[in-house]
Amino acid sequence: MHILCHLHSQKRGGVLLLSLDRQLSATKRRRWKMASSSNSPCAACKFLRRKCQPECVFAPYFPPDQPQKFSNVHKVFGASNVTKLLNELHPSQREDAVNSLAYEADMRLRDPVYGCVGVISLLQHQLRQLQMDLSCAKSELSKYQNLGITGHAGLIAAAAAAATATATTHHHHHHPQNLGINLIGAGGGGGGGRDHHYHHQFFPRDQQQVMRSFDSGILDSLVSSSNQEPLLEMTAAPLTPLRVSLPQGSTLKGFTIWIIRKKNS
Amino acid sequence: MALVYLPLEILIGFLLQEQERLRESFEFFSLDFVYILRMISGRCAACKYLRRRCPSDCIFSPYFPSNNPQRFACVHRIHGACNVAKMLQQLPAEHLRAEAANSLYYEAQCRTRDPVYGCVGIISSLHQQIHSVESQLAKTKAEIAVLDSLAQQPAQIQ
Repeated sequence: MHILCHLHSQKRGGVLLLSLDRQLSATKRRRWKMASSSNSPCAACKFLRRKCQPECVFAPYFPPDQPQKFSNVHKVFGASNVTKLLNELHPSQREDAVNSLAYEADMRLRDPVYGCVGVISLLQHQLRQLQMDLSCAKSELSKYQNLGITGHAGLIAAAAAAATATATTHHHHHHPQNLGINLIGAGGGGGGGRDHHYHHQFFPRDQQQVMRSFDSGILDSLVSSSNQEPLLEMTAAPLTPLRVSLPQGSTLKGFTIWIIRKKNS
Repeated sequence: MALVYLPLEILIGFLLQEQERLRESFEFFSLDFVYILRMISGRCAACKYLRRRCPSDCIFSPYFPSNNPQRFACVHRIHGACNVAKMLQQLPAEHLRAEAANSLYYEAQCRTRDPVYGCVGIISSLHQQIHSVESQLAKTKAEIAVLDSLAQQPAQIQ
């Protein structure tokens, strides 16, 4: 007896309606109804049109309200490959593995040629650009060292901390802090939003600290010791007052001229 | 038709040399020989792995040559031959299929090395590195801005 079973889930009160083949008896129909209303099949078993066993390997990771997730994974990897992969892993690792597979499958369906590799390539390019910018900035900073320009360590520390905080806030806006591996929604949603969801979810839990204390190693050698009396005080508006002192043997012309003028007045 | 018993290498060499000549006069004969040769020794890595004959329009053969069996084995283990064939069939141009085959192989390698995260682990690591470099860049630019303002102040007062 061939049984055709279509499960339709309705959101109203979570009641499942079944439409069965005429050959089913009334008792069997009642049994199906009881079983399905207590244990709805997972998205994988729904897709594969099979009975969802209690020990189904897919059930914990493919809930019935996310059919698109399994559909994508099945299109790219195949159910049997996913089963083999999950069976090789420890149960604690399976959720992360499923979510990473879902992400890869989603990327592959969006970009059938490059998939995740396109994202990796883009990020590598971005990293290279940033590293070049950083090396340019460091070489520019070293010019100031060569000129012998000094500054109050606290002032520079405050500016650097503010800049780092801004960079962190900006980063948080696009990539919220680590939430572990928990795929919130695989179906629907805008493309950009989904990207951000996926991007921040897969950071490992021991993400390095963003805020760093100011590393004044470069400028320490130029800042005077507390014993040496400052030659002059000047206000650096709109910031806090700044003490400037010159190290011995300094040849900074701008400072020298200014000091002479002040002494004359 | 006379049966000729020759070592395989000599037979292949002979038939490859004679292929063009035979094609004109004995077209079906030479094509049959070519077909048999391909069946014996010209199968792509995919068809060898799947133990089937390699048709002339095999979707895998341009991208999974027989000299690299490990490439198809890796991709098949992760994606499956059917899925790979469907994905390649969807792409219209050959160069796109080549790129897709390479990216599928790369993803399969990443997944084999790291069965939990695969490519996603690499993406996560790159995000972390980018964030770290961005922080350093912001800090360096802030230092430059402060020192630049200090350098300009004496000139302004003058």
